[in-house]
Amino acid sequence: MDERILVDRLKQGDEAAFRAIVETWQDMVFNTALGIVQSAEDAEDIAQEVFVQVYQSVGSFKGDSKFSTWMYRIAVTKSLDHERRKKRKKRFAFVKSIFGEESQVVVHPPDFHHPGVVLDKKEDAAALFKAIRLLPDNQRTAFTLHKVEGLSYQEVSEVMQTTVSSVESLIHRAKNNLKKKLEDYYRNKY
Amino acid sequence: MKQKGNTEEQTAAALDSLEGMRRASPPPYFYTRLQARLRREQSSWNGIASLISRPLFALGIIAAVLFVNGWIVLRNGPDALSSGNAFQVATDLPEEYNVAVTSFYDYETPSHE
Repeated sequence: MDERILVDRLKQGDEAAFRAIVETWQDMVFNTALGIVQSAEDAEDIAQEVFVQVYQSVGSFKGDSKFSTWMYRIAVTKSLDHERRKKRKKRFAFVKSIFGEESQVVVHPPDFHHPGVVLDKKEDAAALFKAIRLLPDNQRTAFTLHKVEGLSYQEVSEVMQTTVSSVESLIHRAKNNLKKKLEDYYRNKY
Repeated sequence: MKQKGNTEEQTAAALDSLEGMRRASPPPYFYTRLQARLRREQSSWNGIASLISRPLFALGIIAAVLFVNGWIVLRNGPDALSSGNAFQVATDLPEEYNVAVTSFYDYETPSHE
């Protein structure tokens, strides 16, 4: 069904339209969140949050951009917020542990294995995802949208509301940073 | 030298490792769980909580309190702030609520015979 018709029907509170929207874009939203937060459990939680927000604030969608672009923006924002919250929690737990208070330190799993990666590249991809975690937010977002979601530079620029040349620059810098981090990682491994 | 070559090769392999990857899908029955969450989010208590937690709501309450405060002061005119009036309030309140300082000392003082 046409995207605009679905959105119009959702604006009128049509539950069947909401179901169709979820079924059409759930993989896109989940995969985007998974690429950023690198945890299937957290990615599902974020995907649910995204669709709840879509349901509640579809009235504010004016149609200036594609519906999928709007959903990408919500997914990216929520994923990055989740990461910031997690970092804050980690810092707080660390400070608490300094003062001797018992606290459960939030630890990331050592290796993240994306289920969509080809089997013989799993180990290399795990090292790459570890390095991606260390990138600044904007480089991480641009790289993930381009490499994990397979968006073109043009599409990434629409999601990030910036120019294509800025996206090119972000991805170029991301690749350079990743290269350095991976070289350090492999050098220390042996 | 061999290790350097090995590191470079592995770095290149890692950078290319996402080529040809497939999209991940959420676990089965995603929509069912989403519906349950939506129902929770739509419950009235959540609505009230989210309304109260909005900064705009808090600012509105503060503005309303200030407005009522200002209105009462203006309605009573400059006399409301005068020291005479304040004194009146200070003496009336303890009288009305019987909060004058009392002491049991008087009752326990032995009478001088």
